[in-house]
Amino acid sequence: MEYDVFARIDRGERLMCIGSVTAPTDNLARFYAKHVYDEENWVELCVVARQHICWERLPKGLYEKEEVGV
Amino acid sequence: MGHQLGFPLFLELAESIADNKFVLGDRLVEVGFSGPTLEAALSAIAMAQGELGHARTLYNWTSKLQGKPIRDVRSQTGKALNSLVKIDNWLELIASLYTVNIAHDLLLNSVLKARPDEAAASIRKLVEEQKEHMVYSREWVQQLLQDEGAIPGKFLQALSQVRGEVTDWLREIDCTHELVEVNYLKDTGLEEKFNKEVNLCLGEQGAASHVG
Repeated sequence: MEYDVFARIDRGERLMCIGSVTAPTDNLARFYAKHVYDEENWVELCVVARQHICWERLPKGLYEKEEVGV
Repeated sequence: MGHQLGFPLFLELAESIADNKFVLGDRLVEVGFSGPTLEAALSAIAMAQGELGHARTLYNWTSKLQGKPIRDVRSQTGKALNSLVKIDNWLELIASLYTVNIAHDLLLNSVLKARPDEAAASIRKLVEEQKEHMVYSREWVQQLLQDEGAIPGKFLQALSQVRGEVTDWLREIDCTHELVEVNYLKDTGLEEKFNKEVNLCLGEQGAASHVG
């Protein structure tokens, strides 16, 4: 399962999407996020399963088109 | 801690844990580097740093208890479990990390309960960090058991081997009554607790893999 990793570098700063991890469970995703994205001493760090994100708008077909013939 | 009955046995126990952690740290780097995913490999390297740090903390603690100068840690003292030294692939690494971490958790918590004031400064943080390693290995155990083809069977084989050695080690400690009598350890029945924990994680496959 794909998880997006979100982090806040300091109190009052914005929450940023800093990357993603692939893991079979939430616990392992949290563990991976902590150890893969350890370049900063984040004040907050969380993972969100990509399938649980409710998208309001997405570019349709953009990436599929680029991958044709690859 | 004073030099009393059971002190040499306690030192041997602490050095055994330190040796196991030293070897695990080494294997996490050597074998974990080729983990099945990038995330798993990076996490293994992070855990290696943790295990090597724990080993150093325990070596320093035993030196301090004996009133000796802190030694430069370049190798284990020869008390590490044989299965750990032989770790050569990911399945053996996870099986060892899982079982040995449970045993270390039982032992170090028992030391903390027996001598909270003396042991807290040296090992409380270590015990907390170790819990995280246990989450990682438990999750990987589940993943390997649910994998396809020959992997679950081969993993159970690797687990059975290291589990047998850990069980023997804990049984030997259970039989060393001086450690509990002079309050170096609080608990007895470590072998039983260990097997209960492993069986709980393995479910039905647990009984089949038990050789202890």
